[in-house]
Amino acid sequence: MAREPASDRTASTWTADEAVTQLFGAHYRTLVRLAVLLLRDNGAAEEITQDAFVALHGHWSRLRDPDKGLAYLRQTVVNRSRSALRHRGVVDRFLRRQAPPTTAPSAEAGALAAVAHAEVLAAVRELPARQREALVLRYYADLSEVQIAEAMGISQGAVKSHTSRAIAALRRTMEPTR
Amino acid sequence: MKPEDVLRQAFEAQAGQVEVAPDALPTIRARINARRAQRRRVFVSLASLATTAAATVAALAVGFTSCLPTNRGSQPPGGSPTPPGLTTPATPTPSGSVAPTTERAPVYFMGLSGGKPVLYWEYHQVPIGDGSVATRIRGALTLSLSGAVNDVNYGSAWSTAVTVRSVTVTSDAIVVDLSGATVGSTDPATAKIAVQQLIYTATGVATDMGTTRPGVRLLFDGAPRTTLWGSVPVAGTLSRAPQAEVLAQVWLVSPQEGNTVNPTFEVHINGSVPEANVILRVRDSGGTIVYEEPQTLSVGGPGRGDIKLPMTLAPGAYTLEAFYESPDDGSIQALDDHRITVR
Repeated sequence: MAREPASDRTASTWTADEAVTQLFGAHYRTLVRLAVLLLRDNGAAEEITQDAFVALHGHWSRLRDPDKGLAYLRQTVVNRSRSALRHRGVVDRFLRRQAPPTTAPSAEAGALAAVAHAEVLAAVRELPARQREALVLRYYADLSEVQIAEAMGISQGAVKSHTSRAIAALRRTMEPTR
Repeated sequence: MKPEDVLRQAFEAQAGQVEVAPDALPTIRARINARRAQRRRVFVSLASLATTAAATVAALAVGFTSCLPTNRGSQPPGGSPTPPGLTTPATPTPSGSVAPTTERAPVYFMGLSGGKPVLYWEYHQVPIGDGSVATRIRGALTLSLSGAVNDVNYGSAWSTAVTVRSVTVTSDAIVVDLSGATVGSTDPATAKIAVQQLIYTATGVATDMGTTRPGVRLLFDGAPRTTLWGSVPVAGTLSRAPQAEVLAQVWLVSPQEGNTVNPTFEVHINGSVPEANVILRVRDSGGTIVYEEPQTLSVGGPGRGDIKLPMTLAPGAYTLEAFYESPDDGSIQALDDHRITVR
């Protein structure tokens, strides 16, 4: 008898290959974008996301659930982005490199909104890594506190404090200077 | 508008500009298949050898993989009976009568792994001078403390003001007299690594020259002290801290940073990792992964194991990365990477 397509069977019976294919279709692009927001490096973001799917394949026998699989992918992307940033930080420190210039919107795109976006993104880049992660997971990925805590490997209380400190810092930055 | 709303829009706008590679899924599948093939080879070899002694199984099982590695437990320089070889000759010795003025010695440096200070090491050329062990230790310590690294991921935990006044090898210790060590890290973990960087280097050079000494006595401008920088005890004879406390979990031993190697060369990884699993990854000059396979060290953590495997690459510039994946969340841990050129 021919095997049913993966999409017609319950997710708990997916093989690891099917899980990768299904979760890739549903979430790959969003996860790459999440990694870009954390890393500011499209190439590295894509590679880290691919790493996460390769790792998911190896762990699928323990997960066997699309929600758990997605949570695992998110957690891996956050962790690996953090490792990549830390590694980059070490290299930067030893080389005493200058920080990359913040991206300014082009003249054509110079609408007020774009300026505001560039400003807020520049301010986000200045935040400590954990605060930045909490903001991206909350305001880009739209995760709940429970999900953010899981993705970052910290308590819900810590998520609350990272988020509120980050927002307070952004508010200070965004206050109009007079 | 509230910061939260601007943030949402800004993230959305930035993310919206990101497009993904059209071949991402085939790339992921290819990497999964490469790992699956590797696991199958190891599994088949293990199954077929199930009755053999465990050590032999481990060695042969890895031998069945694509790379025919030789692996055995080993210790860091200064404790290893056979110091790892380099892929490029360290001192080109002319065939004429000119004697070399430097010799290769292991030199320890500080690096960060998971934000924690740990020790890495590189081979460096140190002056032979009068030929004594003390002169070589002094040369190696001067490089170590000044942070004369090849790999910019490493550095020294000592300030640039510190100098080595003298080194004396007595019957029971190596006596190192330092000057300018007044300022140092107030972080106890970094200060401890600073002292261990010195001890590992000094005892390593001595042992490699057959003059094993159990420890190091430190003097500061000729006089002993009880503590350094307010936190680390430095009185009496100091010995190497346990490896698990101070060494990086993964060392890419060779090739070293900046080496130029032949198209076929040996990769040597040493480490202390869960279940002896490390991953070796090679990137070309554009950053594309051209090789990635799990490797099995001779000994799993908390012990330290090795693997040596031959690798063949087309001429060009590459980055080799050795690391392990956290069994809990798949994150990359203890990454050590070196840039090399294949001639």
